[in-house]
Amino acid sequence: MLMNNHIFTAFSDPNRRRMLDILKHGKRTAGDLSSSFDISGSAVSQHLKVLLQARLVGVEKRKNSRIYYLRKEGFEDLQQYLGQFWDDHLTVLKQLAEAEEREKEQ
Amino acid sequence: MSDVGIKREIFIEAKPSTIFSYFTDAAKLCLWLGQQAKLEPAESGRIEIDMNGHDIVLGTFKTIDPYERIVFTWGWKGSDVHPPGSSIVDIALKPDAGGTWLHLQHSSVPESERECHEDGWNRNLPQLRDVLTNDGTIGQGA
Repeated sequence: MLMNNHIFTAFSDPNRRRMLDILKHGKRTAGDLSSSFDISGSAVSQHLKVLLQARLVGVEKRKNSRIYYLRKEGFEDLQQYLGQFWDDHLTVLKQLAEAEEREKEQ
Repeated sequence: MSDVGIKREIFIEAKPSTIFSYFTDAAKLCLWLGQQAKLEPAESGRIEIDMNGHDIVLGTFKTIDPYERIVFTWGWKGSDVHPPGSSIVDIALKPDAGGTWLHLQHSSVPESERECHEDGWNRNLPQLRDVLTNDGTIGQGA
């Protein structure tokens, strides 16, 4: 039902929310990000993996480094999900209400 | 765009009173929105809709104006990005020849106006809305 559960998972951790805040200000390498956190480099990598899965963050692979950036499309997913959710359900409501109305008229 | 929000309009060949009951009668609501529901269809009454045995929507009725308008808050239990009390659904029913226009607006509630819900969510969370509006670079064309 929740179209992109990864988005909800991604937002559930304070470190990941802070990473998104930092990436709002521009691209960063994993090393840049690590220096802002008191957690291990591998923990930072794990968090970045979750953000990548949620498609909130993208990565550019360079020769010696990976550069992370915020994907605005990821945030639009929620909006899209909401629209799709109501389109699907209102279509069913329409069918039900119209069927009930026809029965009443008979 | 400063908020997450959508609008929908749908024409239904039925009377407003018929459509209205699908929002206030739990058994009828479950025919189109969720598997199980508990509804207290009165102002400040609670809404609990189990969508699929896993995802639960919690909300509160704000306005119940028979056959014309229903307003209720909406959010997902346990969700950080869309918690209970964080968004509002506004349904307006307008009779027209041969049926009713249903107008739906679902938009986020400004953080300052949010009610503290028993589901317990952290007021200090950077909400999606903040990410969308920060310096105008997100949520607009690249």
